[in-house]
Amino acid sequence: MPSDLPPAPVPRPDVPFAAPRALHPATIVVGVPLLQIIQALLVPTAAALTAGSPLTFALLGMVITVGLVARTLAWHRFRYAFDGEVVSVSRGVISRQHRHVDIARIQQVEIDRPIIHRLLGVSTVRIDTAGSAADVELRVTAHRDAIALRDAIRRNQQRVLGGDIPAATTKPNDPGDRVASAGKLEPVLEVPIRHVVLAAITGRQLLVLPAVIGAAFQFIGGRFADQVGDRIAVVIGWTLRSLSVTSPSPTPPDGSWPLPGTNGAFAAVIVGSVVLAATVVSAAVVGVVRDGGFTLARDGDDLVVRRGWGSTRTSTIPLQRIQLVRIARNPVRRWLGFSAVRMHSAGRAVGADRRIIVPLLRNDRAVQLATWLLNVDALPKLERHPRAARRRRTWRWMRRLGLITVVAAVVRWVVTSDVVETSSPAQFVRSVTTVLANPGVEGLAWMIAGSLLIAALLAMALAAAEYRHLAHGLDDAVVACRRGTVGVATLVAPARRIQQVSVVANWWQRRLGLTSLTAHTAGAGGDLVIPDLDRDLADQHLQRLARLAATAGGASGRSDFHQDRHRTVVDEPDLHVGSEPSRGDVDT
Amino acid sequence: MTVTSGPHHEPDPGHWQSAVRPGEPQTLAPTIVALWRLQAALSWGITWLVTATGAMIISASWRWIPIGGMAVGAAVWIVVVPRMRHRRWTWQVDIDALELRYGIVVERRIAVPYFRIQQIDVTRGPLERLLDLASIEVTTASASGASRLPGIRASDAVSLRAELIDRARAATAEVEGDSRDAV
Repeated sequence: MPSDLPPAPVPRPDVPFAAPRALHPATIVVGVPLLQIIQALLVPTAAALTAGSPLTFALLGMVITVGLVARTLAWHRFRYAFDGEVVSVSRGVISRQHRHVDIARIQQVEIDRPIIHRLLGVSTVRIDTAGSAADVELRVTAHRDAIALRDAIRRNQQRVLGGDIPAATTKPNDPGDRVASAGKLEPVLEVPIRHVVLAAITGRQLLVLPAVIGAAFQFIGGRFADQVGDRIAVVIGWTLRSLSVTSPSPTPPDGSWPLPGTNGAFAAVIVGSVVLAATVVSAAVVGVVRDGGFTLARDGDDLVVRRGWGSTRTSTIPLQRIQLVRIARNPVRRWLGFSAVRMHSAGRAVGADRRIIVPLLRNDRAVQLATWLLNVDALPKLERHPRAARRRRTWRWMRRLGLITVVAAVVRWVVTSDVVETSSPAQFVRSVTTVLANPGVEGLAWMIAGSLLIAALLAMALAAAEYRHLAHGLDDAVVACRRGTVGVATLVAPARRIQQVSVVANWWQRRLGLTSLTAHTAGAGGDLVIPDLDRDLADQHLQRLARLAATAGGASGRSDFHQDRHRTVVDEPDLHVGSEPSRGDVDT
Repeated sequence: MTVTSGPHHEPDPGHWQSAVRPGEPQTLAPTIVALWRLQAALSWGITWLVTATGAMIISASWRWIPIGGMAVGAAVWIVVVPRMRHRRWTWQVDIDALELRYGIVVERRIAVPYFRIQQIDVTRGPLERLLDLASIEVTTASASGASRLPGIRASDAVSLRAELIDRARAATAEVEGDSRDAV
């Protein structure tokens, strides 16, 4: 009802959302995530189906009716408005909730369109702020309203935040009017489909299918699994037989191997390769559905990210709001020379997809993208850490591995020695102590010594790898840290976005003259931690970063941010920044 | 128990100049040692009572080991640790940032730039009220939460808060031109 809405400000002619509006009527049904609907209906439906009596069906009908009525009321009582300064949302049937978000605080605007949304011509708009609670979700609006709202927010954000930007006048195609640039997309980067597929099959989602299969078998239970395994074996044998037509022998009823010469190992290889192929294919499909057609485009001072086949997701982040950029390389991608680039805004992160990941880029392009995103010429030169850092790494690995191997050795020894009794806990403890106090325990000592030696060698190798990757660098624009053992990640945070700085040294680090430095950033990207620096250097860095944080990156960092470095031109098909495709403008 | 600072606090210059000495490392109020001792005594006392009761009930021959060990631990924690903590704790109202340094085993140093301050809370728990102390919590947009400066005399807390707010406002005014928002 309009009566309990906040007083509407004077509508601006250029803002079509000044008067409070309702959501699209489809909200009643698709305003709730499908999963939630299924969850809500699962128990009543199951009850109705199993009981089968008219009463339970009536109950199910009642649940659905009540749900529909509640949804209708919720839709009816939901109003949103945008007056050019503040996005306001009023909602709630019984207890009303009014939320106002100043556009200066908006970190990210996202338009999400799952398949059902696209069929109905609607979208979900999400407006993220730096806080954790003041999040606005318009689920769902007509798609053209979503686009119009996003553009209105962006236009006004540029008017409010970037009104005094001199750079606007230097744009060749832009007659000094910042507002005019909104809505005109300049492509920055496209990830070709082959890279999306490569990203999918070298990424973590490769493990999804095996995990699901494993979980399913776990769920079904061992006995069942055996039966399923037998069935699979029978099917394979049958297929082979029908292919080769060499063995006419019928399938034995006990499910043993039907084909002469076919043994368990052979079947295992077949099953294994089928699962492997299915895994790769499903990972590729999942990857393409999620990230297919990945494009980054620039719209004024905003970055527009579009991704996904099937369900399209479009996110808009003001470029100045990027808090952290992470260039990550897992071992496979390192070997192939590719990286994934992840960027974090200060928006709330619920679920894995709220941060933005460029699935795959060649290493040099990834670094180029990072410098472009952070508006710097180059990443700072990375410096190695003192050798004491390597000692600490070795020690830490030793602690982890040594503990595991010693425990494993003792357990193995105790289990294999036949003195151990497990009839009662007290008996068990007593017999184990007897075994361990036994004079003939040299075998165990040797075993522990041997496993410790292996653990030590492994620890040294891992620490060497970790130390080789450990490096950091900072200048007046950004702070960067590279770390990792097998996979390597480089984190880069813009100095102008650092919230606070701290150094920590535990007792052991102090003995080695080391200190860890943390540059705290806003949002879900987490902090940038530089472990094991030289103590004096860490103190210097702390002073410098605190100074940069206190002045929002210093005078140089803030005034030239909006200028045209963001129009760097790169002569690479999948990274074309700026509109001029000429080679001559390559930024050096 | 919690007093959240309003943005429109009027500082009283005559008062706060005595409490906040910019650019100088300052220690916590000595009464914080008593507070930490009380807190340690309470938590250790409860744990010790539970352990002792348990040990007496099972009445094993080794029951004096946990009872005695915990008593020694509690004594150290109550008598020695608070004093060391107090000796290690310094804070400083620096040019750009509020700096905190503390920690016995793990040493920490935190710089909170005034420009980044989003919220200042002055907290007083029951024990702190008893000892006329207050804690100041400074929150930035950092994902890792607020920084806490304990052991400020209640009267000084008000002036320190005013000082921090003034500095935050001044810093924002200085940077404001280009980025209105510190996130």
